[in-house]
Amino acid sequence: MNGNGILRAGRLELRVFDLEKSVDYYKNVIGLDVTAQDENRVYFKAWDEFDHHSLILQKSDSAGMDHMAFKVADHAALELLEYKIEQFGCKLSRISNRTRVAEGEAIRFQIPTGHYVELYTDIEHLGIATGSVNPDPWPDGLRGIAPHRLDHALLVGDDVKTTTRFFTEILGFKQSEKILSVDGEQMIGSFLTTTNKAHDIAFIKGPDAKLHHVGFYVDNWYEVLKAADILSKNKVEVEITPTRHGITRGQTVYFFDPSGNRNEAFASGYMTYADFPTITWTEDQIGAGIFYHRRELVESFNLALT
Amino acid sequence: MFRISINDKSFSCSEDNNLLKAARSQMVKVPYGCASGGCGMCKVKVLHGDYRMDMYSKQALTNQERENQQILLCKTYPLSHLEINLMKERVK
Repeated sequence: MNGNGILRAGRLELRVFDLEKSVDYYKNVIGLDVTAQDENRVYFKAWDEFDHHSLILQKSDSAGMDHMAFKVADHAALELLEYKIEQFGCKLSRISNRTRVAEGEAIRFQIPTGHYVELYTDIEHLGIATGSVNPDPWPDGLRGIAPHRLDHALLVGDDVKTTTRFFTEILGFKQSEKILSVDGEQMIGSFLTTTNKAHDIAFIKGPDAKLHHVGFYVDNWYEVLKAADILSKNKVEVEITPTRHGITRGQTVYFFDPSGNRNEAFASGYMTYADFPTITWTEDQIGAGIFYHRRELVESFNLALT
Repeated sequence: MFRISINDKSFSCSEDNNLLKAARSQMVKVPYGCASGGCGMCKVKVLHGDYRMDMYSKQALTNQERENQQILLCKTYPLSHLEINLMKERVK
């Protein structure tokens, strides 16, 4: 937390057109726990997350992201942020208490790239299986990839520059890395954090309101390899086999959920601090920035968006 | 087993296999992304033949495109021999 009152990426709601297959995939392949369901939604949490849910699947006729939400420290911080967001000119509404299971009131607004973002502070606390007193390092009975948490999302939109200004100046995020055109005039990519993680949310230039991927955190390089094994065993479409990112220095495998939403099992990545400089990548080196070994992008990575 | 012609190439596909899987297993290069009906990268046009489609995203393939005989290779199962045209900009 960078003194802005925003604790972390808290939840993300995905649209899926095949709810049954998607629930099975997120439960058994990703290895999240189902914590609730209502008429059109199923709620999940990772084993190492304390709150009621971090991922919501919404039954839809398409794929993509409904919204991403960040958890705020308290109501005072939420009110201050609501005021600043309205001043910036974002269209803002309130989501009333219990609109979704286990959630309190939230504020919902549209950012310049067309995505919806929410801020909230109240959500039911479920805790984790190992408890919080003298805990074992992990619980028995984990399934699938079993990530620790929802880690980040990469979103696609046109106005990366204004969106970055909104996240840094209004919400108080820090920009950890950016991708600039070779002449330095255009911002093509932006990696933003409200914690010490290399990114909590990121943007890349492209068509508005699209999702590039949702990242789940696993411990280390071996867990990325093992995630890829689990994916292949389950015949999941793996787009990028295990490798390293130049940007964030994280280790990664990319794959798709049953509705075509891209997922990532992401490990490591550096820690950043408020006084660290923003790292700059130039567009001609974007291949190495994204896939450090291959040093070039693959077509689907740019074009397969939901 | 049905014969699937796609531009100047062809491959075979049974009625319980999708066109993308069959093409990939026979080393016929076709465009694709998520292979799950979400992104629309494997959109092509059917010129002749019958087929059925599994669930897919209505953003990836709109109802209008569907009426225009466009399909997603990853979600289409043949019911006869098929003649398919890759979208112009996607020809490799």
